[in-house]
Amino acid sequence: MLLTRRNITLGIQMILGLMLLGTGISKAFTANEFLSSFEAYKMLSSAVAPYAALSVILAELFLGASLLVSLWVRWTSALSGILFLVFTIAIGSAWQRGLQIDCGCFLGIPEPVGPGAVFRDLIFLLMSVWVWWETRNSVGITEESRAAA
Amino acid sequence: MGATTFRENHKKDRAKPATYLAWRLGFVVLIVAMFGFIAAKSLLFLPAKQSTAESEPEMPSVGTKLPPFTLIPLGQSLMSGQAFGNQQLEGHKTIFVLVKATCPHCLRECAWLSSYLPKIKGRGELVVASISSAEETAGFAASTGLTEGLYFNASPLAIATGINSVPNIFLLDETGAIRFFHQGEMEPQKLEQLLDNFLQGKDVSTFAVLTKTSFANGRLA
Repeated sequence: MLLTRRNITLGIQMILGLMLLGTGISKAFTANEFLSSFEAYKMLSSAVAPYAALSVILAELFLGASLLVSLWVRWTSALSGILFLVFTIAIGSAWQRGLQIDCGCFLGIPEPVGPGAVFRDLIFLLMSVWVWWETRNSVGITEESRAAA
Repeated sequence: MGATTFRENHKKDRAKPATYLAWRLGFVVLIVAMFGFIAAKSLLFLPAKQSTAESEPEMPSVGTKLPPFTLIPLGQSLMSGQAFGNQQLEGHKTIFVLVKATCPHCLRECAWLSSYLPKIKGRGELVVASISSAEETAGFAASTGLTEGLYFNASPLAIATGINSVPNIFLLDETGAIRFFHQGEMEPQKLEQLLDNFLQGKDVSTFAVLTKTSFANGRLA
Protein backbone atom coordinates (compact mmCIF):
# COMPACT_ATOMS: atom_id res chain seq x y z
CA MET A 1 0.00 0.00 0.00
CA LEU A 2 1.52 3.23 -1.16
CA LEU A 3 -0.59 5.72 0.79
CA THR A 4 0.31 4.52 4.25
CA ARG A 5 0.67 6.96 7.09
CA ARG A 6 4.41 6.33 7.12
CA ASN A 7 4.82 7.00 3.39
CA ILE A 8 2.82 10.20 3.61
CA THR A 9 5.01 11.34 6.49
CA LEU A 10 8.13 10.42 4.53
CA GLY A 11 6.80 12.40 1.54
CA ILE A 12 6.12 15.46 3.68
CA GLN A 13 9.54 15.11 5.26
CA MET A 14 11.20 15.02 1.82
CA ILE A 15 9.19 18.02 0.58
CA LEU A 16 10.20 20.02 3.65
CA GLY A 17 13.83 18.90 3.31
CA LEU A 18 14.04 19.78 -0.39
CA MET A 19 12.31 23.10 0.12
CA LEU A 20 14.51 24.13 3.05
CA LEU A 21 17.70 22.98 1.36
CA GLY A 22 16.75 24.67 -1.91
CA THR A 23 15.95 28.00 -0.29
CA GLY A 24 19.04 27.74 1.92
CA ILE A 25 21.31 27.23 -1.10
CA SER A 26 19.66 29.99 -3.12
CA LYS A 27 19.99 32.37 -0.17
CA ALA A 28 23.64 31.39 0.30
CA PHE A 29 24.41 32.37 -3.28
CA THR A 30 22.46 35.63 -3.04
CA ALA A 31 23.28 36.43 0.57
CA ASN A 32 23.48 40.18 0.01
CA GLU A 33 20.07 40.24 -1.58
CA PHE A 34 18.69 38.17 1.27
CA LEU A 35 20.26 40.56 3.78
CA SER A 36 18.59 43.43 1.96
CA SER A 37 15.20 41.71 2.23
CA PHE A 38 15.96 40.81 5.83
CA GLU A 39 16.77 44.41 6.77
CA ALA A 40 13.60 45.63 5.06
CA TYR A 41 11.59 43.93 7.83
CA LYS A 42 13.04 46.50 10.22
CA MET A 43 13.03 44.07 13.14
CA LEU A 44 16.76 43.99 13.90
CA SER A 45 19.51 46.59 13.95
CA SER A 46 21.81 46.70 10.95
CA ALA A 47 24.72 45.56 13.14
CA VAL A 48 22.94 42.34 14.06
CA ALA A 49 21.15 41.71 10.75
CA PRO A 50 24.07 40.03 8.87
CA TYR A 51 24.55 37.52 11.71
CA ALA A 52 20.83 36.83 11.95
CA ALA A 53 20.60 36.43 8.16
CA LEU A 54 23.53 34.00 8.22
CA SER A 55 21.88 32.07 11.06
CA VAL A 56 18.69 31.69 9.02
CA ILE A 57 20.67 30.45 6.01
CA LEU A 58 22.67 27.98 8.12
CA ALA A 59 19.50 26.76 9.85
CA GLU A 60 17.77 26.17 6.52
CA LEU A 61 20.78 24.29 5.15
CA PHE A 62 21.16 22.14 8.25
CA LEU A 63 17.48 21.36 8.66
CA GLY A 64 16.95 20.74 4.95
CA ALA A 65 19.92 18.39 4.62
CA SER A 66 19.05 16.58 7.85
CA LEU A 67 15.44 16.01 6.82
CA LEU A 68 16.51 14.78 3.40
CA VAL A 69 18.79 12.09 4.83
CA SER A 70 16.50 11.34 7.81
CA LEU A 71 18.98 12.46 10.39
CA TRP A 72 17.42 13.22 13.78
CA VAL A 73 14.06 13.68 12.07
CA ARG A 74 12.10 14.29 15.23
CA TRP A 75 14.32 17.12 16.38
CA THR A 76 14.89 18.66 12.96
CA SER A 77 11.17 18.67 12.20
CA ALA A 78 10.56 20.37 15.55
CA LEU A 79 13.22 22.98 14.77
CA SER A 80 11.76 23.44 11.28
CA GLY A 81 8.41 24.14 12.90
CA ILE A 82 10.00 26.77 15.13
CA LEU A 83 11.73 28.32 12.10
CA PHE A 84 8.46 28.51 10.17
CA LEU A 85 6.75 29.97 13.24
CA VAL A 86 9.39 32.71 13.34
CA PHE A 87 8.94 33.34 9.60
CA THR A 88 5.17 33.52 10.03
CA ILE A 89 5.47 36.02 12.88
CA ALA A 90 7.96 38.16 10.94
CA ILE A 91 5.85 38.23 7.78
CA GLY A 92 2.65 38.81 9.77
CA SER A 93 4.32 41.64 11.66
CA ALA A 94 5.55 43.32 8.45
CA TRP A 95 2.11 42.91 6.92
CA GLN A 96 0.41 44.42 9.97
CA ARG A 97 2.87 47.35 9.99
CA GLY A 98 1.92 48.06 6.39
CA LEU A 99 5.41 47.47 5.01
CA GLN A 100 5.32 46.99 1.27
CA ILE A 101 8.38 44.80 0.93
CA ASP A 102 9.42 41.59 -0.69
CA CYS A 103 8.91 38.54 1.48
CA GLY A 104 12.45 37.31 0.69
CA CYS A 105 11.19 33.76 1.16
CA PHE A 106 12.16 32.34 -2.22
CA LEU A 107 14.82 34.53 -3.75
CA GLY A 108 14.32 35.13 -7.42
CA ILE A 109 10.55 34.89 -6.97
CA PRO A 110 9.33 38.32 -5.81
CA GLU A 111 6.43 38.03 -3.42
CA PRO A 112 5.02 40.80 -1.24
CA VAL A 113 4.45 40.19 2.45
CA GLY A 114 0.77 39.55 3.05
CA PRO A 115 -1.83 36.92 3.79
CA GLY A 116 -0.59 34.61 1.01
CA ALA A 117 2.91 34.38 2.46
CA VAL A 118 1.55 33.93 6.01
CA PHE A 119 -0.81 31.18 4.87
CA ARG A 120 1.97 29.35 2.99
CA ASP A 121 4.29 29.44 6.00
CA LEU A 122 1.49 28.18 8.23
CA ILE A 123 1.10 25.21 5.87
CA PHE A 124 4.85 24.49 6.20
CA LEU A 125 4.51 24.85 9.96
CA LEU A 126 1.70 22.29 10.00
CA MET A 127 3.76 19.95 7.80
CA SER A 128 6.65 20.19 10.27
CA VAL A 129 4.31 19.49 13.19
CA TRP A 130 2.92 16.47 11.32
CA VAL A 131 6.39 14.99 10.81
CA TRP A 132 7.33 15.72 14.41
CA TRP A 133 4.15 14.07 15.71
CA GLU A 134 4.44 11.00 13.48
CA THR A 135 8.05 10.37 14.48
CA ARG A 136 7.50 10.90 18.19
CA ASN A 137 8.26 7.23 18.95
CA SER A 138 11.25 6.80 16.71
CA VAL A 139 14.68 8.21 16.06
CA GLY A 140 13.85 8.67 12.40
CA ILE A 141 11.63 7.23 9.73
CA THR A 142 14.34 5.10 8.22
CA GLU A 143 15.32 3.70 11.60
CA GLU A 144 11.74 2.81 12.40
CA SER A 145 11.31 1.19 8.99
CA ARG A 146 14.42 -0.86 9.58
CA ALA A 147 13.16 -1.94 12.99
CA ALA A 148 9.79 -2.90 11.53
CA ALA A 149 11.48 -4.93 8.81
CA MET B 1 4.01 -6.11 16.59
CA GLY B 2 4.30 -3.37 19.20
CA ALA B 3 5.54 0.10 18.39
CA THR B 4 9.25 0.59 18.84
CA THR B 5 9.93 3.29 21.35
CA PHE B 6 12.26 6.17 20.81
CA ARG B 7 14.54 4.96 23.63
CA GLU B 8 14.76 1.45 22.20
CA ASN B 9 15.61 2.71 18.74
CA HIS B 10 18.14 5.08 20.19
CA LYS B 11 19.84 2.20 21.97
CA LYS B 12 19.92 0.19 18.74
CA ASP B 13 21.47 3.09 16.90
CA ARG B 14 24.16 3.55 19.52
CA ALA B 15 25.06 -0.12 19.30
CA LYS B 16 25.64 0.02 15.53
CA PRO B 17 28.99 0.88 13.95
CA ALA B 18 29.96 4.49 13.79
CA THR B 19 29.64 4.42 10.00
CA TYR B 20 25.89 3.87 10.41
CA LEU B 21 25.20 7.56 10.84
CA ALA B 22 28.51 8.91 9.63
CA TRP B 23 27.61 9.33 5.96
CA ARG B 24 24.43 11.16 6.80
CA LEU B 25 26.14 13.38 9.31
CA GLY B 26 28.95 13.93 6.81
CA PHE B 27 26.45 14.95 4.14
CA VAL B 28 24.80 17.46 6.44
CA VAL B 29 28.12 18.89 7.64
CA LEU B 30 29.37 19.16 4.06
CA ILE B 31 26.25 20.98 2.88
CA VAL B 32 26.23 23.38 5.81
CA ALA B 33 29.98 24.04 5.64
CA MET B 34 30.09 24.54 1.87
CA PHE B 35 27.09 26.80 1.40
CA GLY B 36 27.41 28.35 4.84
CA PHE B 37 30.91 29.48 3.92
CA ILE B 38 29.62 31.07 0.71
CA ALA B 39 26.95 32.96 2.67
CA ALA B 40 29.33 33.95 5.47
CA LYS B 41 31.86 35.23 2.97
CA SER B 42 29.28 37.56 1.46
CA LEU B 43 27.68 38.64 4.71
CA LEU B 44 30.52 38.91 7.19
CA PHE B 45 33.77 39.42 5.32
CA LEU B 46 32.83 42.55 3.43
CA PRO B 47 35.40 45.25 2.75
CA ALA B 48 35.70 47.32 5.90
CA LYS B 49 33.94 50.65 5.67
CA GLN B 50 35.99 53.77 6.27
CA SER B 51 35.38 54.75 9.84
CA THR B 52 36.59 58.30 10.13
CA ALA B 53 34.02 61.01 9.65
CA GLU B 54 36.44 63.03 7.51
CA SER B 55 36.75 60.28 4.95
CA GLU B 56 32.98 59.72 4.58
CA PRO B 57 31.74 61.39 1.41
CA GLU B 58 28.65 63.53 1.83
CA MET B 59 25.37 62.06 0.68
CA PRO B 60 23.67 64.01 -2.12
CA SER B 61 21.18 66.62 -0.95
CA VAL B 62 18.66 68.93 -2.58
CA GLY B 63 20.28 72.02 -4.07
CA THR B 64 23.71 70.47 -4.59
CA LYS B 65 25.13 69.06 -7.81
CA LEU B 66 26.50 65.62 -8.52
CA PRO B 67 30.28 65.35 -8.18
CA PRO B 68 32.24 65.11 -11.45
CA PHE B 69 31.63 61.81 -13.21
CA THR B 70 32.16 60.12 -16.53
CA LEU B 71 29.67 57.56 -17.76
CA ILE B 72 30.05 55.43 -20.85
CA PRO B 73 27.03 54.79 -23.09
CA LEU B 74 26.10 51.13 -23.32
CA GLY B 75 27.62 49.64 -26.45
CA GLN B 76 30.51 52.13 -26.42
CA SER B 77 33.92 52.13 -24.80
CA LEU B 78 35.80 54.87 -23.00
CA MET B 79 38.03 55.19 -26.08
CA SER B 80 35.07 55.96 -28.34
CA GLY B 81 34.99 59.51 -27.00
CA GLN B 82 31.26 59.42 -26.33
CA ALA B 83 31.48 59.81 -22.57
CA PHE B 84 28.58 61.31 -20.66
CA GLY B 85 29.52 63.80 -17.94
CA ASN B 86 28.13 66.58 -15.76
CA GLN B 87 27.95 69.08 -18.62
CA GLN B 88 25.42 66.88 -20.44
CA LEU B 89 23.01 67.36 -17.53
CA GLU B 90 22.51 71.03 -18.23
CA GLY B 91 19.76 72.57 -20.32
CA HIS B 92 17.05 70.03 -19.56
CA LYS B 93 15.42 68.19 -16.71
CA THR B 94 17.08 64.85 -15.95
CA ILE B 95 15.79 61.73 -14.27
CA PHE B 96 19.04 60.19 -13.13
CA VAL B 97 18.86 56.63 -11.78
CA LEU B 98 21.81 54.82 -10.25
CA VAL B 99 21.46 51.05 -10.45
CA LYS B 100 23.24 47.74 -10.20
CA ALA B 101 22.51 45.17 -12.92
CA THR B 102 21.91 42.30 -10.50
CA CYS B 103 19.64 44.24 -8.15
CA PRO B 104 16.02 43.01 -8.46
CA HIS B 105 14.60 46.31 -7.20
CA CYS B 106 16.53 48.17 -9.90
CA LEU B 107 15.21 45.74 -12.50
CA ARG B 108 11.61 46.37 -11.48
CA GLU B 109 12.02 50.12 -11.22
CA CYS B 110 13.77 50.41 -14.59
CA ALA B 111 11.26 48.11 -16.28
CA TRP B 112 8.59 50.51 -15.08
CA LEU B 113 10.66 53.53 -16.22
CA SER B 114 10.94 51.89 -19.63
CA SER B 115 7.15 52.02 -19.92
CA TYR B 116 7.15 55.62 -18.68
CA LEU B 117 9.81 56.70 -21.21
CA PRO B 118 7.32 58.09 -23.81
CA LYS B 119 6.06 60.59 -21.20
CA ILE B 120 9.62 61.79 -20.54
CA LYS B 121 10.46 62.45 -24.20
CA GLY B 122 10.47 66.13 -25.10
CA ARG B 123 10.19 67.17 -21.46
CA GLY B 124 13.37 65.76 -20.00
CA GLU B 125 15.95 63.02 -20.24
CA LEU B 126 16.30 59.65 -18.58
CA VAL B 127 19.80 58.60 -17.55
CA VAL B 128 20.24 55.15 -16.04
CA ALA B 129 23.78 54.80 -14.69
CA SER B 130 24.92 51.29 -13.83
CA ILE B 131 27.71 50.44 -11.44
CA SER B 132 27.98 47.00 -13.09
CA SER B 133 30.13 45.95 -16.02
CA ALA B 134 29.15 46.61 -19.64
CA GLU B 135 28.18 42.94 -20.09
CA GLU B 136 25.98 42.86 -17.01
CA THR B 137 24.44 46.19 -17.96
CA ALA B 138 23.61 44.83 -21.42
CA GLY B 139 21.75 41.95 -19.74
CA PHE B 140 20.00 44.51 -17.54
CA ALA B 141 18.91 46.43 -20.64
CA ALA B 142 17.45 43.29 -22.16
CA SER B 143 15.58 42.43 -18.96
CA THR B 144 14.11 45.89 -18.44
CA GLY B 145 13.37 46.73 -22.05
CA LEU B 146 15.33 49.98 -21.78
CA THR B 147 16.75 50.77 -25.18
CA GLU B 148 18.24 54.19 -24.53
CA GLY B 149 19.74 56.26 -21.76
CA LEU B 150 21.76 53.39 -20.31
CA TYR B 151 25.31 53.98 -19.17
CA PHE B 152 27.91 52.05 -17.21
CA ASN B 153 31.06 52.99 -15.25
CA ALA B 154 29.02 54.60 -12.46
CA SER B 155 30.99 53.04 -9.58
CA PRO B 156 33.23 56.12 -9.10
CA LEU B 157 30.12 58.28 -8.83
CA ALA B 158 28.57 55.91 -6.25
CA ILE B 159 31.76 56.00 -4.20
CA ALA B 160 32.10 59.79 -4.50
CA THR B 161 28.53 60.32 -3.27
CA GLY B 162 28.79 57.76 -0.46
CA ILE B 163 25.84 55.87 -1.84
CA ASN B 164 25.56 52.49 -0.18
CA SER B 165 22.45 50.95 -1.68
CA VAL B 166 20.59 50.88 -4.98
CA PRO B 167 18.43 51.95 -6.71
CA ASN B 168 18.82 55.72 -6.30
CA ILE B 169 16.79 58.30 -8.13
CA PHE B 170 17.94 61.88 -8.61
CA LEU B 171 15.74 64.49 -10.22
CA LEU B 172 17.95 67.22 -11.62
CA ASP B 173 16.82 70.62 -12.89
CA GLU B 174 18.10 72.42 -15.97
CA THR B 175 21.25 73.54 -14.15
CA GLY B 176 22.09 70.02 -13.02
CA ALA B 177 21.15 70.77 -9.39
CA ILE B 178 19.43 68.04 -7.39
CA ARG B 179 15.74 68.79 -6.81
CA PHE B 180 14.89 65.42 -5.33
CA PHE B 181 16.85 62.39 -4.16
CA HIS B 182 15.59 59.01 -3.00
CA GLN B 183 17.28 55.74 -2.11
CA GLY B 184 15.39 52.48 -2.61
CA GLU B 185 12.67 51.19 -4.89
CA MET B 186 9.57 53.34 -5.04
CA GLU B 187 5.95 52.33 -5.50
CA PRO B 188 5.13 52.73 -9.22
CA GLN B 189 2.09 54.91 -8.46
CA LYS B 190 4.16 57.22 -6.24
CA LEU B 191 7.00 57.28 -8.77
CA GLU B 192 4.60 58.21 -11.55
CA GLN B 193 3.10 60.97 -9.42
CA LEU B 194 6.59 62.24 -8.56
CA LEU B 195 7.80 62.24 -12.16
CA ASP B 196 4.59 63.82 -13.45
CA ASN B 197 5.02 66.66 -10.93
CA PHE B 198 8.70 67.04 -11.74
CA LEU B 199 8.20 67.15 -15.49
CA GLN B 200 5.38 69.69 -15.04
CA GLY B 201 7.87 71.94 -13.24
CA LYS B 202 6.36 71.55 -9.76
CA ASP B 203 8.51 71.59 -6.62
CA VAL B 204 9.24 67.98 -5.68
CA SER B 205 11.85 68.57 -2.97
CA THR B 206 9.43 67.62 -0.19
CA PHE B 207 7.66 64.82 -2.03
CA ALA B 208 6.94 62.03 0.47
CA VAL B 209 7.54 58.46 -0.66
CA LEU B 210 7.28 54.98 0.77
CA THR B 211 10.39 52.96 0.11
CA LYS B 212 9.70 49.37 -0.87
CA THR B 213 13.23 48.22 -0.31
CA SER B 214 16.70 48.65 -1.66
CA PHE B 215 19.65 46.47 -2.45
CA ALA B 216 21.97 46.96 0.49
CA ASN B 217 25.52 47.69 -0.28
CA GLY B 218 28.99 47.41 1.02
CA ARG B 219 28.47 45.15 -1.81
CA LEU B 220 28.08 47.82 -4.47
CA ALA B 221 31.50 47.97 -6.07
